[in-house]
Amino acid sequence: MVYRGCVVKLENDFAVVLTSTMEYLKVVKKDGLEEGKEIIFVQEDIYRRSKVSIRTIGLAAAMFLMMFISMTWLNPWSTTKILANTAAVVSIDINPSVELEINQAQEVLKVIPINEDGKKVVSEKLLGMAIDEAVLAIVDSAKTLNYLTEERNMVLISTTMTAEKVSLDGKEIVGRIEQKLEEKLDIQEIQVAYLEGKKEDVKKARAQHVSIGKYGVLKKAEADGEQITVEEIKELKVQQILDKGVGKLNVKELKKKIQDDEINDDQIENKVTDEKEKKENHPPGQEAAPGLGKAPGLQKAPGLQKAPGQIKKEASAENQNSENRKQEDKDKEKAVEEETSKKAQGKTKDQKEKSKDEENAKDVNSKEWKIWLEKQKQKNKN
Amino acid sequence: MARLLNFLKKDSLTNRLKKIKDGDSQEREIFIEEYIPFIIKTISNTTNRYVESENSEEYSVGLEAFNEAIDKYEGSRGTFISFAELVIKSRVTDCLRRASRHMVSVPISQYDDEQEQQIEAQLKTEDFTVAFELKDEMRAFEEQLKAFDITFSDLVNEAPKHVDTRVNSIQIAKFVATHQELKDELFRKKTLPGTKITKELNVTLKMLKRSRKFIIAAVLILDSDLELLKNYIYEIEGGVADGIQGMRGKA
Repeated sequence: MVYRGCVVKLENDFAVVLTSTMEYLKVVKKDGLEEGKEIIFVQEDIYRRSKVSIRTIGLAAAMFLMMFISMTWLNPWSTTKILANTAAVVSIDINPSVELEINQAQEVLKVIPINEDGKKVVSEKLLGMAIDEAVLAIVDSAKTLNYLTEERNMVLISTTMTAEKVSLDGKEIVGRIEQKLEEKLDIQEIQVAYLEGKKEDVKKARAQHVSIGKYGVLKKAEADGEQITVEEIKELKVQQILDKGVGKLNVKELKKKIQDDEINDDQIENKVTDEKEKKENHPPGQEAAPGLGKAPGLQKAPGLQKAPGQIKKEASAENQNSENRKQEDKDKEKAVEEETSKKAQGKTKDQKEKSKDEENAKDVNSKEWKIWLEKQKQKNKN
Repeated sequence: MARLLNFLKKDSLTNRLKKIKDGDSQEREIFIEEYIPFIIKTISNTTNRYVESENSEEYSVGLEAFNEAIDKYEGSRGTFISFAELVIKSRVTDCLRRASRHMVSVPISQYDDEQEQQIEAQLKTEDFTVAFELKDEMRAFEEQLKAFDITFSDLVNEAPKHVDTRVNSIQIAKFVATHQELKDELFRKKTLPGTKITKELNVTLKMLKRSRKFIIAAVLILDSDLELLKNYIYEIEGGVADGIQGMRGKA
């Protein structure tokens, strides 16, 4: 239908037209429209309000979005699904190797013993436990089965994030585990080595029937140029791995009591210095020199005597940390330092000879101390 | 609507085109007539302006182009509608380009420079003043409506939709406009003299109330100098004159 009409009024987004049939109509605006002009137009030119309903479209979009959000976030089904998915894999090697799959809430979903010994230390009740409780249970049963003794007290823990969008931190998990072990474990001393695995390694490790922790050690060793095969590492016990220094692991000692027997074991001393190297990012030559240089001789040289002192320092500092984390400031550090150095001095036979070395070492040590303590603080914060 | 119907009987469209090509001029007339809305729409879309009257250049160019499209169309060129649209569009743009070039090339026309300028100046001023006057009239009309508390959007929304009601309303408006005392009363009281109208014409108060704004607007148009709008009113009256006269005869 063709309309003929006179433009009577121009508005912002339409024009009012009086047609030849005395109808008042709104038409869409086009170029050159002026009041008083006669125009010819067709049905399609008639202005409809629905044309400019950007607001309604926006409203509809907002409603849709709300529905979508409420469906995805409030639906309990999806939340259970998130919790049912494996978020991380934690592997524990003593000699029994066990892998624990945990979800985002750090609850155990699946327990996989890697070797024969592993089967002995796991049980059904581990499922659904918090990860730190589960590890404690495993370590406990390993102890009762005599896998873990005063001499063989190494535990290798590795964490691997498998899910992509997970707000889990491997270090945090290990921190919790360590804390738990420290609190509950009725064993004098336990050494924990920690490795963070990569997602790809999980599959490879499983294909070779080796735990992720051991696989991580193997990879590290290979990176360092050591010759070792998968079969070899499978056979090795964690204690042996650490004793041999394969892969140079970070070791942390957890002790039940502050006062402990002196450790005169040559190997452990080596390990401790080794550990120091790692922890403090210290060039090996500087610090390890007195310990390492004199250790092979197995004499009661000042360096050797100093080494247990260092262990002490660490141990006591650790206790201090756990006791008063917040109060740690520089004054405290010094006090601790002095205290421990006194203890160390008390145990030495020839103090004169030692004092020189001590002072030299102190300068170096105090710097390292601060760095180390800061690291500890950060860890505790986490 | 015409397009839709044609779309439904698409088969007959090709038949009709064939018939026209074979020389049926009457069929051609009807066919073109049917497609006038389409032609207008296409022109309007091409120029992004409304076609100003049946006598405008674009309109005639569009009609010619459509006619040409009928002759040149072959089944292999896709649908007739899209083909015709293409032809009209290209012809109209050609026309526009020619017009703009013509404007630039004023000095090379067959007229003398002076003559040309004179004519053009005359045309321009006339056109301009007419446009200006019209605009002014419209403004005045709007102002008058405002005095009665009526806006154009009121009229768009409230004007009677049915043709018969509209014709009746216009009849009333004309009656008021021709009777000076009624008109004076309207302007004085700003309301329609209801009782007098119902007495004189065979209408109900209810109907008067409903199309009050429309009637007042029509009265104002008849009272003004808006020739075009007045013509519309006379046209609509003339179109149904017989019916109304018949009604009067009965009364």
